[in-house]
Amino acid sequence: MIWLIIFLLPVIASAQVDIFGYYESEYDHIQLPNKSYNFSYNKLRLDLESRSNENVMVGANINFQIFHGDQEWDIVDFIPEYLEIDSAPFSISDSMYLDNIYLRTSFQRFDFTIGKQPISLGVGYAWNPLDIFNRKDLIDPTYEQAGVNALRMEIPVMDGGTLDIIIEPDSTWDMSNKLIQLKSSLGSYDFSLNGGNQYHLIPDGNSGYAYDHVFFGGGSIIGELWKFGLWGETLWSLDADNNFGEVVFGIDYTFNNGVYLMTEYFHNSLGAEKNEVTFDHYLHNFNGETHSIMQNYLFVMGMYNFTNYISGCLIAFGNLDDQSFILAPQLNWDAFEDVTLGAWVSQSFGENDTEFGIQDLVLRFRLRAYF
Amino acid sequence: MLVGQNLKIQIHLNFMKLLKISKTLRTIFYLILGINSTGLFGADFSAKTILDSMTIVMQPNSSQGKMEQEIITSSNIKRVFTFNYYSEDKGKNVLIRYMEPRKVRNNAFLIKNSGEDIWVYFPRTRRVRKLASHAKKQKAQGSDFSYEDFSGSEEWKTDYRVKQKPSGERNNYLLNFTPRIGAGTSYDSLKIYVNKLNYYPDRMLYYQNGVHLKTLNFQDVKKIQGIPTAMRMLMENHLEDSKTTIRILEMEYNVIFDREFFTERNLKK
Repeated sequence: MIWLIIFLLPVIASAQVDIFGYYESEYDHIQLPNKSYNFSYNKLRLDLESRSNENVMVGANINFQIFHGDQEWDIVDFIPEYLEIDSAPFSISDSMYLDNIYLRTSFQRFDFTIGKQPISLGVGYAWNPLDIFNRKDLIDPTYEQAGVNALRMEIPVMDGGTLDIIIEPDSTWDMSNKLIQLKSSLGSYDFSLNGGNQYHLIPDGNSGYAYDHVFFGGGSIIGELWKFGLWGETLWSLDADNNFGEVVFGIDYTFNNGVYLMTEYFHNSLGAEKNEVTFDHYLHNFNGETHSIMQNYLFVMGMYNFTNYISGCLIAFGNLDDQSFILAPQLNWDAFEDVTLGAWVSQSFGENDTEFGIQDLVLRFRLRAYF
Repeated sequence: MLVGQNLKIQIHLNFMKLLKISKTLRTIFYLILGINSTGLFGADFSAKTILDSMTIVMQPNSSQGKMEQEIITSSNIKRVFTFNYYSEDKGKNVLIRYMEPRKVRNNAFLIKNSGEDIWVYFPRTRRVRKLASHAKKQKAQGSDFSYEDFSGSEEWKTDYRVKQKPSGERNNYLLNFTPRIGAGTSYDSLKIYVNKLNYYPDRMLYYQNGVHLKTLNFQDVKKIQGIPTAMRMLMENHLEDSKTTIRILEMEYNVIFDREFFTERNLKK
């Protein structure tokens, strides 16, 4: 990374740089059965973009984030009591980091991107089994994801198709994440065929996890049937003796009055089965190593523009295995041309020893001003 | 598309010449008889002929331009968006890339096959996602235009049945559109007033559930590369009492695009 910064910063400094970004301020109140957390942050995201010609682009993002309020947290407050963990504290602190810094070049036959870059794969909205580089927050699935330090080559093939090769280097070739994707279309459907190799969690046969090199195979499809949007996406291990993976299916529709409805079902066979949840399941999920704690989930969203500048959104998602759910209405107002205000509430339903039922009420206010 | 016209096709040039001759003869005939053309000549054209003439006049083979979209709400709040616009194959394939405001900078849409296939690109995540065609019913960046309204006028032929009605206006024909069964359009009828002289639309009325929802006015028609072009299009939403204006800042017709221009690869550039 250091050599990349040394190489790219002079390029940015000497070229005509487009500077933009946003300021974001958020306040959160999390009400748990016996405790509450109140915190807020101010974030400045500075985007730098330079195009020396139409085939070369250097991009970078620097994030500055300052936190206020409760900065000492305890994971125990968010996991069921029956796991009998005494304490697992962690803290959040002010930060300044280079989220992305990359060079993108377009040759006649392919595009090549090197550096810490935004990568987002898959067709799902709330979950993306194909995206082995990222995980999403269910309450805000479209929030930008951290950059991935990778090499990416996109090669146009066939008629409008793309062969996508992504390598996220690590200490050794074996430890590096590799993904290859062939994307094309058939009629009104887009599809992809994917293969990957990753040092990943695998089931240890005792409701727990071990690590091993895993070859994955999968794919995605998105299109339309009877005016309904349909999509599906899966990534599965290719080891016949240790077969596990994830799959998501989704459907959406827009009514003539503009009301948009969408639902997704997600299955993760690596997740815990009912009554077999361990602290490891939570830990690996918090670390982003798994896309869910348990196996079966549902996500539903309805959206409507009340006026040109005010939109409402109702999100509901739940863990079908432990019967816990969250209902989260959201209101967004484009107060000014580049300023958006959001008010979000989320109320949980379910027993106290369930994934979502352990929370009670969350309030979130977010202001974002672009420049 | 709503913007632009096309005179590339030689047949059409000949057709327009014939129209001009016809109009000249008509003018002479009026002078002699002292009557307007509506009764004698307007009715001679079938609805399909008028529609064909209109789509030829307003449908460029290809175009690229820069446009400004201004939304004005009932409470007089204004928002201005600027976007680059590219179209080929008589508006069948369209690429729209937003430049301003910063919030939507580089957000882009690729619309192919007259709106049947839509891809959206989000630059912050560099993510391209295909949308089902129902998404074209949604408002474009909160404006009074839906993505469907940007679709090619070929849809008027494929999705609707058209009939000519008395316009009650001296200068315009009136075409009445009702959706074909299973067409899946947002509107349950459209009315288009078409200028008798140049076959350019004067205004379009959109109806939903029997209610007059929106009106699109084509204003300030000027010739660019010899092609009449509405430099300003005003969409009025009668239910929300809001307005959206699309103003053409730059426009060029008969552009030759690279073979890969209307592809996902270019969408991400």
